[in-house]
Amino acid sequence: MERSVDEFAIRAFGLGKQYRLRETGGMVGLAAKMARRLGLRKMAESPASHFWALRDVSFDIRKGEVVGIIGHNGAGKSTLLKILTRITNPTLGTASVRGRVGMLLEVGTGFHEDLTGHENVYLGGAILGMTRAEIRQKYDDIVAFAEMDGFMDLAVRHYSSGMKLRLALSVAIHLDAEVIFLDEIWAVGDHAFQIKTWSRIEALIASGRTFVIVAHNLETIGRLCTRCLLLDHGRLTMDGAPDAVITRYRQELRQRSQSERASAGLPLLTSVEITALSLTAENVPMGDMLDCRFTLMAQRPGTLRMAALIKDGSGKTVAVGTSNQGRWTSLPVSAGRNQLRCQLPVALAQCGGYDLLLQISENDAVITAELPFAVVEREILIKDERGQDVAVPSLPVVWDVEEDSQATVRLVTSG
Amino acid sequence: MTANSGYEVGPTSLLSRQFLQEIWFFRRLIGLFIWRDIIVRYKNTMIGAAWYVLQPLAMMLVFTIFFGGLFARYIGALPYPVFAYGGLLLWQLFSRSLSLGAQSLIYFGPMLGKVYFPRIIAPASFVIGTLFDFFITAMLMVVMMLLYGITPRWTVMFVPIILLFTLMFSMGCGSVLAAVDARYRDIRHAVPLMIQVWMFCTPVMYPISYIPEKWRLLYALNPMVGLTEAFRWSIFGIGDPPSLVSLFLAAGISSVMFVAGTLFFQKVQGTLVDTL
Repeated sequence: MERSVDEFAIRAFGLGKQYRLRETGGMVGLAAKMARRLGLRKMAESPASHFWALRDVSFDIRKGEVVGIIGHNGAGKSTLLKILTRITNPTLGTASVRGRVGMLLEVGTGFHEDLTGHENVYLGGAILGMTRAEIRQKYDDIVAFAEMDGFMDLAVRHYSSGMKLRLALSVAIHLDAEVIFLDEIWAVGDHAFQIKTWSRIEALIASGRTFVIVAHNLETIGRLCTRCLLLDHGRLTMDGAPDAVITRYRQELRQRSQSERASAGLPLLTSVEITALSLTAENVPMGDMLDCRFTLMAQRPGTLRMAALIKDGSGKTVAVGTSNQGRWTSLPVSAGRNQLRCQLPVALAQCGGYDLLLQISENDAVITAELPFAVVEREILIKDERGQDVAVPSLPVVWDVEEDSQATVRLVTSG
Repeated sequence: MTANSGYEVGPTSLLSRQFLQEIWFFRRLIGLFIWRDIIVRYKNTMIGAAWYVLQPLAMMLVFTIFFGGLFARYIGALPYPVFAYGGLLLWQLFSRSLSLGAQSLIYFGPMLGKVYFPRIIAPASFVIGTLFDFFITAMLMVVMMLLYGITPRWTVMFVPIILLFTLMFSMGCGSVLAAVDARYRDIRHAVPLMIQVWMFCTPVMYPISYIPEKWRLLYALNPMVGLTEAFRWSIFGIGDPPSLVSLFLAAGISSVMFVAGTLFFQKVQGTLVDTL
């Protein structure tokens, strides 16, 4: 029953990655380094200034498997992908990857603003490892897929952000790779383009390519993957069928908010539980309302303070919701079930995967709940002065006919 | 196993077969990056290539005005402007390739964090790319030699070898500086100063005969001494050939620096992006 080595696409053995917590790059760092060399234990950096972003992660991925990686912010998903794609070396462990590798990580890599679309396709393709003949052969397909016909001799600096991403994605997706690493790319382009991209990815999956997908969107993972890895604080905590892993991940998210609440130990808050937390849509077009509903169980009536904030993939807070009360909004809750709804506009700098963090607080105690979502670009085509189609961002606009109150008053007095 | 059929992830071993195959696989990238930088430069400047002639030209004029009379008696038959421009030509190649090599990771930083290719391609493409500027500045040299009626002799065939050693030396130094700069940002401030001081320690504006005999050996530990002397001798074909000692020192030190520098870079390349 021995499996031949050829069947494996990726084997990772004991992967670990240690980062410095504070950047001791200056004189202090240098002095500490020298002290360590000289064996002066006391002066050397304490081990607490390091942390393991990834610790002892091992797995085998067979050819043709579609593996999703999930985990909370900072669980080590991106670090793992960066190690497997050789962007950074692991501190410990080894891995081997068999087959031609494609990366759909952050699209637009290597595109130069001053070069034309045509020149950039050749440059971008070469950076991804395509040969000149290969790019020439696929050039028309790349342009057609990106819907960029007629724009290719224009410098990329004149493209809209959507056009840039479409072209870059199109180059990346045309690399004939056997092992494909994918991160967050569904949040590219308008809705129609996303559908096209995903059907292309699904076709690649169907043709037996190996995929490793890091996604915030659990729905995507559940639909596409044949297997799922769960990371928690840098460790691989579960490896199995997507449904089971996703269920456990959701449980863990809930448990975390409960344990945070338990440690707080406050009267009303201890009896509060967040359930049925969901978004109306996980993919939200830029500028639209993020619409989140949840149920709050409370044992007695009282007042709780709520806050919402948005974190990006790296865990950095990128936006904080404020109401007319400020960052925290006091809301009355009644005993039993409370249906709550939180809406906030998605006016963020860029598209991509984010997490919505709901915070519920009483005095200084806070419980939090986390929900992943993705912001997608929404563009519409309009004709420019030369009659060519250009893609521009679309914004929601509200039109109303308002009554002229002064005119009404005048009518009354003169009559 | 080629670069296109998979790879191993782990501690970098120096000069593994995987590494050499990859350099070969990605060799076209070096050319593409050079091509990109040239195109971009011409798209954004009005007089493009002229800037690269203007710099040594201005330096040559300044040297001629202030030091021309001072050093004339050490030079011999050669007119001072030609002498100075000849030295500046090679110095320009060295100083530009060294400073660009040292800065290469700053420019490539964002790309290195998103996509993999052998990291040494970043300094290599910058260093090799300066040859293009060299050929443009060399055109003025040709014009000056025509004006002063200096015809090159057979010795001109050594020029490619001298250029090769110059670039090997700056590649070696540049990749070490680039890798250290990724961790300690002091390098980017130190390099311009270093280059300035270095020029005065190199026979660019003065001939080697200006240096007292007893200091010559110490002086020749700077590989640019032997290379500059050899370069002038080979393009003008006038005067004594450079001393064998300085030639051996120049060739030896630049080769050692090239090997040591690229190996050092190779050793740390795997984790460069963590601190960039």
